[in-house]
Amino acid sequence: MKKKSMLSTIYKNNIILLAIYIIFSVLAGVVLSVSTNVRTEFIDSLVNNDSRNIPVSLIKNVCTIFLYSYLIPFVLIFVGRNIQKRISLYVDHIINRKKVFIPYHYFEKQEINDQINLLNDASVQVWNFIRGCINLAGYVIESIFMFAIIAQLGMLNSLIIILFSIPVVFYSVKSGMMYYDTWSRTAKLRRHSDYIRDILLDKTYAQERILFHYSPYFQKIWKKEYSEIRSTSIKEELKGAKRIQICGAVFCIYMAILLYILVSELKDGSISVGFAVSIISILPVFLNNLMARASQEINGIVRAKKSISTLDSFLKMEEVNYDKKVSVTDFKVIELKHVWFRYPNSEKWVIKDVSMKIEKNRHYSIVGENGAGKTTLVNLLMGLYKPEKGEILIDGKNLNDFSEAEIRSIFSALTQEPQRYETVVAENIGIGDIDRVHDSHAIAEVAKSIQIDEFINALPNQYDTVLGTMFTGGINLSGGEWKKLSLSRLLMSKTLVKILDEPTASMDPKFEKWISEYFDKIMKNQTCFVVSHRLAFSKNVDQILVFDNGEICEMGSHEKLMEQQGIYYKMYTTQQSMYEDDVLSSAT
Amino acid sequence: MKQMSYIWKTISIIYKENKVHLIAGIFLLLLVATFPFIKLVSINLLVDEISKEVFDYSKILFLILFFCVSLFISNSASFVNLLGSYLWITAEIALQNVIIKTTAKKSLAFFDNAEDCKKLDKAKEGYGSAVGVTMMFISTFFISFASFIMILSYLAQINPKMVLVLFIIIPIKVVSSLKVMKEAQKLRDEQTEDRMKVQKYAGYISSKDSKIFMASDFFLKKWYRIYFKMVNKGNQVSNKNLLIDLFSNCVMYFCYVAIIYITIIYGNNDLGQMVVLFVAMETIFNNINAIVSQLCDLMQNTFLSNDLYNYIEDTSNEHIEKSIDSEDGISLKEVTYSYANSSKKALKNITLNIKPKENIAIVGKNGAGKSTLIKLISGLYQPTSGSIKYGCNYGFTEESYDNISIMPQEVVLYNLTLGENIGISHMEQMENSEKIKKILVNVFGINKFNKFINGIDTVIGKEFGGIDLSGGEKQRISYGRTLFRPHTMVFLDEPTAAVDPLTEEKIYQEFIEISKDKTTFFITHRLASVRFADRIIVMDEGRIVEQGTHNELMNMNGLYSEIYQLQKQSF
Repeated sequence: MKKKSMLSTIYKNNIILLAIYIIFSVLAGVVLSVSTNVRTEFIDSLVNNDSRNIPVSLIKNVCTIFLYSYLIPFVLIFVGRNIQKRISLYVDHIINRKKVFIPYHYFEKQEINDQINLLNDASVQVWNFIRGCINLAGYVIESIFMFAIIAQLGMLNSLIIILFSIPVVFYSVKSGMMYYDTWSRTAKLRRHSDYIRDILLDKTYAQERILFHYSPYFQKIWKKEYSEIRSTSIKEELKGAKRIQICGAVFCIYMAILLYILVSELKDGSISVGFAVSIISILPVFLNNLMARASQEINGIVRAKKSISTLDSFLKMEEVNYDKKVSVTDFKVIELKHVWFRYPNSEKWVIKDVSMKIEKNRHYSIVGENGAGKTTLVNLLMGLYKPEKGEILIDGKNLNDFSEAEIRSIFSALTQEPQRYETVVAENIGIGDIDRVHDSHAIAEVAKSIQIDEFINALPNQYDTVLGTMFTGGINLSGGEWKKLSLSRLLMSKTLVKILDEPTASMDPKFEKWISEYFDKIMKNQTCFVVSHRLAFSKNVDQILVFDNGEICEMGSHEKLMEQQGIYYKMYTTQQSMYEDDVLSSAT
Repeated sequence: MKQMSYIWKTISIIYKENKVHLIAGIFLLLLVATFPFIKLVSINLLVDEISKEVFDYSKILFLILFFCVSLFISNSASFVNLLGSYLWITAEIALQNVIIKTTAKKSLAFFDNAEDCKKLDKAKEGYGSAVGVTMMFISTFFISFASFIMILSYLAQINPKMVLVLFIIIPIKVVSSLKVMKEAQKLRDEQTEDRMKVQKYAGYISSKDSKIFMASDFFLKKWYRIYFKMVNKGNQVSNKNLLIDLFSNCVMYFCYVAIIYITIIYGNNDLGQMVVLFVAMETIFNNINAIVSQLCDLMQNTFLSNDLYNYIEDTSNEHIEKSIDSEDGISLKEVTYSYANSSKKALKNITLNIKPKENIAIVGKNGAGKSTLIKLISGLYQPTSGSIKYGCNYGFTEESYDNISIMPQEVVLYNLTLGENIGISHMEQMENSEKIKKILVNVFGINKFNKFINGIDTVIGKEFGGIDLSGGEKQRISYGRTLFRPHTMVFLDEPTAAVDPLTEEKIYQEFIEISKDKTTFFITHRLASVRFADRIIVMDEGRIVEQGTHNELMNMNGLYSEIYQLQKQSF
């Protein structure tokens, strides 16, 4: 979505409210000049003791002041806030909607997350921009009217006033741009200082904070970073403000000259007292408009425009196709051919020349040391990352040629650190097959199938229990209980290939045993891919892949690998020996 | 009034942080507050002079200059305020420091309680208002008071009846502002939870699991539902408040107009005075409106300071430092524990005697209470009922957690450097890179460690441009952190859940060595590893159901023996 069409959609949707806002902004300028005339009239009638006119012109004055000072600002703020509300609903929605369609791997990038943070107040900036432009136009109109009045002292004088506006506008624009640049530049430092503050305040770190007493250490770091961030931004603002102050000072000198002329003309009788008083009254307003309001408005417009262009480039990011009407219903073989992968901005290859085949209805297991790249491989398989070299083929068709929705219908996974959704139990499970997320019967069936229905039914609201300590009445589950919930999420899904990344970490032995059995029974007619350290699992799979340093070094069934007496053999015998009875009896 | 005491407290907090900044900041605020006043005076003098029949040129010249200078000064208010804001950074830091210090004292149980966590969140949001309110108070208090008196006397000079007007106008404004304030406060309280939900759901849209299961759209809709409700409610309240404001402004304006009308039409003032009166009246009225508005704004915002001070002054739920000297053993008597929101007992009547330097393994199903037991023994939680004795004293002394090291079940990783992730457990030795390196080489092995390009300065976590670690690598760091801290008592909660078998074996072998002269506790599901323990405690549903050595338990043919056989069979 281009910026133009976003803004034009906003204009279209809010045309009435915007029209009212514009009309009243213009009205403000008109009323100001009318009030000047009316004031002149009133004072002159006081001076001339025109007793008939005094009450009338007084009423006129009262009305114009009421309009300018109370009614018009009220309408502007009232309408403005309602427009802001509507814009917020629209803009924040398109930002979050965009997040749905951006491929996952972008969210692991720091720059993208920075961008998203900068967009937190995008909706406010959009209205700031529109409103700023309207307000600025309003000030210009006000100023034109005032010029017209001051012109009675001579055209030349009015023209000089216009000349003063130019440097003010220039400096305002410049300082607005500088401010935004500084703001984006300090984004990283701000995130870091916020993170340090989180270490000091967040409950995730509470236990270690209490044990290790590290608060004073981080407090110092936070204070230093926070001061730096705040003083940098103030310094930037001061730079621009200084220049505007100088313009204002010069203008005041000019104003003194103008007033001298005014007073002389008054003495000569070429202008009335009323007019003189009016000029003296509007000069402060004019100066204030120039030095403060107009320059602030321009400043704000420039910042807002920059924010809008960030929003624009965010909305231009590539999207994936989630059209669910197309899905893959069957496959025979998935093949990885000489796949190489490394992270962006990294020289080091994480996956090196990996080739393997996954056949339908077979079970596979990947074992290997930590950091060998197993999870990365799984991410590649699932299409979350794209290989730099080599290809991933599904029945001969490249994975890149499938739509996102198709890929998601092929693979689903139990990730190593599954997301704990702080919502109801039923949804945590139901998300596994989003089309059936409200199907409570299906959800209960799945829970029963892995025997967690008992503990769910023991919760205060059973499947409708809200999880997480963020919200009132929320229940926190233990690590293992969350994992089981996430496992049932995987079981809800109807994808063709199921991937499990360390499914038994933090599970008790009974469950571990159960899941190895379950594996064979219910995954009987499914294609399964397990990453696990627990080699007890691997006895029952069709093929084991031993992964080391980004490469597959051994491949085969349990029996075959044991014969080979390689790395797998070593790992297996180590685990096994931990249960040997004779070792135990010698220990006691 | 409570609000006044908050302002005073804020000032004293800032004073402790930096006296000079506070005084200079106050000075600047007071200075700026005089500006509108100067402007008012200069306009009045000038208008008065030019309305006279006879001109005094030199006086007028002077007044013109005075007028221009005062205009310039009054338009410099924002510039001066910017200068001042440098100084008020100190205030922001001071208040956040107090929040940080208060949080550092809280017990672990505090963070299990949703209500308490909300209080902390509100305080985090409230500190900014506390600063703002204080600044507002300082700038409005003296000047408002002084200018109010001046206005009163000025009005009384012209027509004493004018003063009566003030007594009508001000209460109207105050009442309407109080109403507005109540509405805003009510809204804020109602929406605290919604605001947190909105943030969470927005985050779920882009999480890995949501992408895998195509649930992003689901969370988008959830987010929008709450966001829509929140924004509309907020707007509704804002509209209502604006109307209340407009209504009160109309009423006040009507009074003002009536008085002007009467005074000017029926009064007996000379021309000059009347012109001045007319011009001044408008400014005076605006000044009064501004003063009263400011004071009311002040009141409106103090309820946000409430949140800050409610949190800072709440000394409940602070953790108690225990003297954990296990020289004479630890004994638990009938210890029971329930978590914050739950009526369910996580631990039921635990009675246990631990000898000094004993190595204990704790096994049991998920949710059996193993981690809870550890947190109680280590002093992180206090028993709901029952008692825990260390040596011969209950120990509420200053000597704290210096001798304990705990490896938590959920690995906590800091997006800092590798060295800091280890050193964080013993701050005094944070600079000791030799020792840290040694630990890292120990847990990773020399080869693996050398693969970290920047050694101990490698940044962890993609947040700040560092590297991502696998689950097992994270757990090894957690283990290293536990070792780094000097201890006589150590707790390991599932230390090898995510590591591969070879590393697991290594860790346990090492652990036997280290635990020889320490009191140790470890929780594990890997029954093979319990063979290292002096005693094994088997827990189920919050109770200890069996205990003894491996052989004793096997002979009991109970729960332990059942589980052990199960695991062994897989091989």
